[in-house]
Amino acid sequence: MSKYCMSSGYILEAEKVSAEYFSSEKDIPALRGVDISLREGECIGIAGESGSGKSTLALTLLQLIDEDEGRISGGNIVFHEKASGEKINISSINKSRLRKVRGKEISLITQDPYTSFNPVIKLYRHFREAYRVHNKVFKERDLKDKVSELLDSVNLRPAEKILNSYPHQFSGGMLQRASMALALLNGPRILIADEPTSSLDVTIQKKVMETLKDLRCRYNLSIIFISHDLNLISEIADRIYILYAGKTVESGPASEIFKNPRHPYTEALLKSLPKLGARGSIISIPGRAPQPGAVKEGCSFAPRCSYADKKCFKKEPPPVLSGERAWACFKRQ
Amino acid sequence: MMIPVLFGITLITFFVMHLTPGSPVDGLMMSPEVDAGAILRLRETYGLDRPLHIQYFSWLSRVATLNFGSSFRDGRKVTLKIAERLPATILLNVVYLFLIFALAIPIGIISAVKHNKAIDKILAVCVFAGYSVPAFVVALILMMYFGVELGWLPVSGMVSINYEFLPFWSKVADIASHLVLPAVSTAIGGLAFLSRYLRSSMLEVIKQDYIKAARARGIPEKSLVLVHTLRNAFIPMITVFGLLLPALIGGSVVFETIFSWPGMGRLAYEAIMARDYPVVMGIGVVMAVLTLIGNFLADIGYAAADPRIRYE
Ligand SMILES: Nc1ncnc2c1ncn2[C@@H]1O[C@H](COP(=O)(O)OP(=O)(O)OP(=O)(O)O)[C@@H](O)[C@H]1O
Ligand SMILES: [Mg+2]
Repeated sequence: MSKYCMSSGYILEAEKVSAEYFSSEKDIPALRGVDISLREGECIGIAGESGSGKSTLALTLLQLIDEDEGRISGGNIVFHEKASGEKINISSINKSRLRKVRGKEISLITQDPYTSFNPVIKLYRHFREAYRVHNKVFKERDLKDKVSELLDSVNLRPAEKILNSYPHQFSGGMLQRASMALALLNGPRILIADEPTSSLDVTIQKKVMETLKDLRCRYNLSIIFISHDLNLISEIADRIYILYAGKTVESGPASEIFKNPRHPYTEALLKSLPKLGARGSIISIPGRAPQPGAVKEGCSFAPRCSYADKKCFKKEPPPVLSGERAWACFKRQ
Repeated sequence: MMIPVLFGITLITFFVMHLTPGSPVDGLMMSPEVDAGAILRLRETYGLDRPLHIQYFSWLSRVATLNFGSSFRDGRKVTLKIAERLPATILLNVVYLFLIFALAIPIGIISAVKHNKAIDKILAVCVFAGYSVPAFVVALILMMYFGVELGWLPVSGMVSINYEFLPFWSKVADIASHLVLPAVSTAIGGLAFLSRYLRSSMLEVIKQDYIKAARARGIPEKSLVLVHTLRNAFIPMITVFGLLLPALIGGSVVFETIFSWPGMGRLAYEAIMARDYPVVMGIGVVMAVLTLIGNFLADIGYAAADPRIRYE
């Protein structure tokens, strides 16, 4: 658990965010009212099994759900602009304002770095294009210097050669670091990292994590770190949100959650963790995570929960608040 | 690789040609002035009396020395006959190609960007209407309307009778006006294919994660479509282009005949009708070579456009 450069002002607040994907029968509710908040300089971890809606949350924060595939059906996402102290409601601003937030205020890196780059375009053009969108006039020289510095900070050298290559000429780890550099090009204040290391080998995973922590301090980033791997999250996150079937079942400071989980699902997750230092974890909890849409009444974890009784299947538990912590369970009041 | 393909194509052309009923001397047989002996002698001179495989190999050995022989009909060299028809065909097809790409690219882009919206559906109906009506019918309708009814455009040939006496720019205008109908009729059929191909290719690319990633960097939709999507969607079109090349220079038998366009397509038609074997075979070789060159260029173009592909 890292205590970097914390200050208490919120930079991003998302409230009751819901999103659904279209399907031929019934729309799939991938997010069902998620609240998250991020403070300046803080790193929050979003954990959850596959299908719990982690990537959907990342996309929703930048309004990137494809119109053909789904829609954001509710909630508010408020970004606190630093310069003006103004609040920007990301969920309701127009397209051109939104473009000024994307990549400039909030950047995204994804799981597979090969899908972050256009395969037929050299790296330099990616940087140049991204820079030009947010800086109408600039000197080529300044851009080159800036990019070299960024590449240096993610340990990619020599810049000239890197920038003259196509994405497929890199290994996954190198390209992921390049994608971090690209994400930071316009000096965003928030970095959303959606499983940035899960497509990489464990040893390379370590290095990329080091780079990420390094960047966090150097550029004073606020980070939303998404992973299914609680071990990884514990390395970097100050606070954690546990997502289950499109809902937050528990949230709170990382140290407290690890020490004393309240929600049965969190408890099960922690139990299933391999010992620290062992290989990447595969979470195994009896039963399977529900398909979104298959969630019926009551608590969505109830069918897999060893504490569940009748009430859990009937009503949805409201969140219990306690200091910085919150969880949603009838059995742990 | 190239030699066997070339060999195969000419072999097939040769036997198909010879298996077709009729022979180059048929026309003479009808004539009362020609006796049976003369016909026999003619067949002998042309080597038509020998077995087919011998005929083929003797043709092949001559072609190996780049001797394509002379036309049965007028005795002129096959190479010369083909060479004089080439410019007309190339001109028509360059215009056709320009036209079809100039139309298909915007139609493809609009259909992809507005997919499943009204404009996409309207465009689809239009291009498919052009596609499903047989091209020669379209050609005849256009001829009737613009050529005969309105009298705006000439309906046959490449130049007017008084072409020789026109000043330079009028010559250009004259050829251009002759080009309109054949080029448009040819283009209408291919438009559906090309624009729909581009549309589906673009929709495929737009779904890709790197487009989403670019959007996440704040890149405006216009550049997403015109730079990222179009560039990648165009790569498979290069293959189509390679396939088009033989037709491009070989000319279209149907359209050149309908519009009496003095190109290689019409030459092929005339030669086939007259069983003018040397000319048909000569055109066969040209087409085979073009097909191979087309494939080769498509491969090179593909590698140039897609950095992930590199040939040793
Ligand atoms: N484009 C889509 N169309 C339809 N359904 C989708 C789409 N993307 C995701 N889903 C569904 O929405 C749910 C949440 O998906 P999401 O990708 O957010 O999960 P995740 O937590 O990121 O999982 P993973 O760990 O596998 O990345 C899943 O059940 C998934 O099947
Ligand atoms: Mg995901």
